[in-house]
Amino acid sequence: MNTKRVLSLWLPNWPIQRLVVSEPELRRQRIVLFRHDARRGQLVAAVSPLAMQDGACVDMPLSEAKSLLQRSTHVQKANVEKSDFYIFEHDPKSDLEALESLADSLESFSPTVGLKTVDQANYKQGRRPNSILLEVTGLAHLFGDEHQLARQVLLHCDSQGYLPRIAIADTVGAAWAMARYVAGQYFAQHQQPLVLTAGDQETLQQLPVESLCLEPAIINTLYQLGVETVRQLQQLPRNDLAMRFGNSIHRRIDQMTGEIDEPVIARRKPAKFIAEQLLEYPTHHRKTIEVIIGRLVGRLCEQMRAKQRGALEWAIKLVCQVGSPLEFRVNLFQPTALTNQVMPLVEMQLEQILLPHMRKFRRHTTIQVQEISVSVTSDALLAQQQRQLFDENPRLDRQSLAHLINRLANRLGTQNVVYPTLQAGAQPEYSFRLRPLVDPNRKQRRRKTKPPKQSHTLARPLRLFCPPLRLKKIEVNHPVSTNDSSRHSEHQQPRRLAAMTTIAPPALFRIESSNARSQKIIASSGPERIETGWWRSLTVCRDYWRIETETHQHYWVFRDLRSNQWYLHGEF
Amino acid sequence: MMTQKQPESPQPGFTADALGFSGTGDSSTCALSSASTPKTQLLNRLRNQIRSVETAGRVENEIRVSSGCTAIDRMLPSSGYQRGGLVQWLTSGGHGADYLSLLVAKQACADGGALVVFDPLNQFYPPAATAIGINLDNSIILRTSAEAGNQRELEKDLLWSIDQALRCPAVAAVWGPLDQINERWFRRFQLSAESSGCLGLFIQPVRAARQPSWAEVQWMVSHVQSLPAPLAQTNSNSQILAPPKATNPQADHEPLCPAFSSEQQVRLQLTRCRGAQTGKTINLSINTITGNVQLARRDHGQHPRNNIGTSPPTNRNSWPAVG
Repeated sequence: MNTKRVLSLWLPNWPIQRLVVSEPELRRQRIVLFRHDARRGQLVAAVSPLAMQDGACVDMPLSEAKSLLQRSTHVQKANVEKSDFYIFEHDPKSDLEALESLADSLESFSPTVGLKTVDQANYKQGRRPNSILLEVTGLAHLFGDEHQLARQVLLHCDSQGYLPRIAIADTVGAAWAMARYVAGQYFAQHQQPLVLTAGDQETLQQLPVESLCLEPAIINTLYQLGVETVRQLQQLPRNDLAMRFGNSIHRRIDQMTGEIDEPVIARRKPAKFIAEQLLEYPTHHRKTIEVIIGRLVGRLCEQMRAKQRGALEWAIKLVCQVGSPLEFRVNLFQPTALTNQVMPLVEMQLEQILLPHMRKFRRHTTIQVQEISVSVTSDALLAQQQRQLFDENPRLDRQSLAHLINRLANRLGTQNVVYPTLQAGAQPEYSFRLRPLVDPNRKQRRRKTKPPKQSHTLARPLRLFCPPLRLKKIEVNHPVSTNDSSRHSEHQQPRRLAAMTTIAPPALFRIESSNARSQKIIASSGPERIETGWWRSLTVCRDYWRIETETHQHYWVFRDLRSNQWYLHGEF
Repeated sequence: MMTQKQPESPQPGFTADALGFSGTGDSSTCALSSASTPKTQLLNRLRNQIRSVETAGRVENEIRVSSGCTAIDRMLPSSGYQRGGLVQWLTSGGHGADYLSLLVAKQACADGGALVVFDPLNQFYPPAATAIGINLDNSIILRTSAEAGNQRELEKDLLWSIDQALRCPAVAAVWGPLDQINERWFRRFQLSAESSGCLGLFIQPVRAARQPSWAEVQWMVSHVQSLPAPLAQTNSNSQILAPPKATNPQADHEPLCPAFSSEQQVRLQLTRCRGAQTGKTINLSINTITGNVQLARRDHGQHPRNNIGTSPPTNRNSWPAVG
């Protein structure tokens, strides 16, 4: 029986790698990515190696990193032409999407590909998944041996522009730890990925305690106690460790050594319904491709109907003779097993994906397709509702509405066909949420929205500007207080309280970012004070006013009590 | 600009609901009897014949949708909007066109049909729509990706989506802001709406008035012209409500901003309507607290006989603090 083998890819400095791959002109530049922290403001989330040499590091305030980079003369010494540096906001969503895309492309090496999960404590500290795991038990002979397999994975990543650290070991914990802490040095010395022989516990014991993926607080305590390696940790009495730190240390050690099994959680479930056709002669006819896909879809629909299942998501893959395969997905609002409902959507997507490869008259493609694969990646029980014989009201035809949603979602994208749900909260931006109507992973049905209980909701505009437009105050109105306690003039109050005083909107304003002429306010109503949001970031403190301009247009403006700035937030 | 005579004064027997904001949308009770001369009858008959030829493709020719305000309904030839048509609201923004048009959408969706909101600027605010009475459970919002690059493709996708939504029989109304569109797309929208019985409600900039339109009804929404108070009181046609004088007992000095009226004054001009005379104007007041839409008062101190809303007048000038 084969022992379990796991291949781990660790992508060092993943946010920077991803950014450089997407924008190659940023290669070998000083880059700083920042994030917003609720309490500490803007912090550095990632830095490129060149910026790191200048002293910038993760979790440093952005202003400090900026001043370090400005002062640095390091770049000039290295004869780099310009000493510019680039600062971008960290985009964890794009990072995760790129990582998932890379993981999906690695399915040609293993059927079980997953991302390294990140526990809650690490996630809160801004650490996101940056490793991919492949279950490669019994697969090495298909590629020669494990060294060949690891090398081919490395070449695959290299072709996409990524530089991973790769290691193969017996367990998930060991493979990840070796890739994270040893593989880089090993590759520099031997120019090949690291393959740990089965049962090699000696190497694992030399790893640092961080390789166990423990909470940062536990690692700090262990270092304070002088415990730095896994070997030192294993020598300590288990009971004492459990009393001091709980079970997490033992569990992680056992998972690393294989005493407790730790599975690779596949990102995508294997498709239950799959149909493929290998073409003897590769084709570049668009119509032929459509016909073959239609046949395969029809075959799968028959299989699903027999099992009373309906597809929610279709995955179609065109393997080309040269180049990477073309893949696309078709998502559906309701489960269906009817070819005539699926094929128009497939054709719509196929047209878009083949468009860059089409020749002049759009009959032939520039690519030669040699294999076509159609699979159902998400399915559900097929619920059929019989229509009434005399269904006079076409508005209640849910089926035609579902077809409309399918068409819209496949043309505009699933994220752009949404439904609103109301959320509790006074801050206007967060008082609703938009969710996609077509979501193959959706587990809950659309909940009914309860009408709001607040009586003043009519005071909200139907158009809300996000982000609010900053207003340029041209003439300041006299401060008008709304109650007796705040009727003192501003200079009599402490500065901290001055900002909290109710001040009427300016008599004349202009939107800063536009060339529109200034507008005069002839009447205003308010304020409605909103103070909320401390759990998201800095507390929001706003005084909202409904104003009427000289042209009798009604707007919703607010004064940010922190910055004392006026913003236009809505239009009635 | 052609000035039309205001609708006749209501008969004493009319109820309050029939003349003010009509929540139920039943505006049939306020149909006024016109003089039944042979000439008028002939004109009406011929007008109906022309309309039946023009709208032969319409599936729901007889069903009307109330505007949510009886005063507006009375300006329309069939006391409401016909399903399967397009309605344009031309505005420069901030005049309440969104509110008035969404009231129509609410009435249109009363039969269980879905509301499709196209939101190319990602500015639609659902909580405000709920306050009007829009059922969010039956609403679909179409947005555009902010990061998508090709503006022309985005616009094409949006127009295609509107066309698809108008074509769907399960959709009762398609509502949203729209910039200028070319004639072909407009005609396509009209045919799609006719085929399904859906109502298309488009909020467009004023400059769209210069373009050819396939809309059944086109409104120009603007503000009520401010006139000196005595003149406003004497002019019976304009029905202008001058803003109330500032009355803030707590302010020691004279504030630059007068006290805010709880009513927004809106002027509606019928610039296009199939089967009706264009150029008619109406001054409405939208209560910003209760949402009631009613004919604007003729003057400050005097309530006209026909100015009756569904809720008591309110003097609230501010909203309660939240948070």
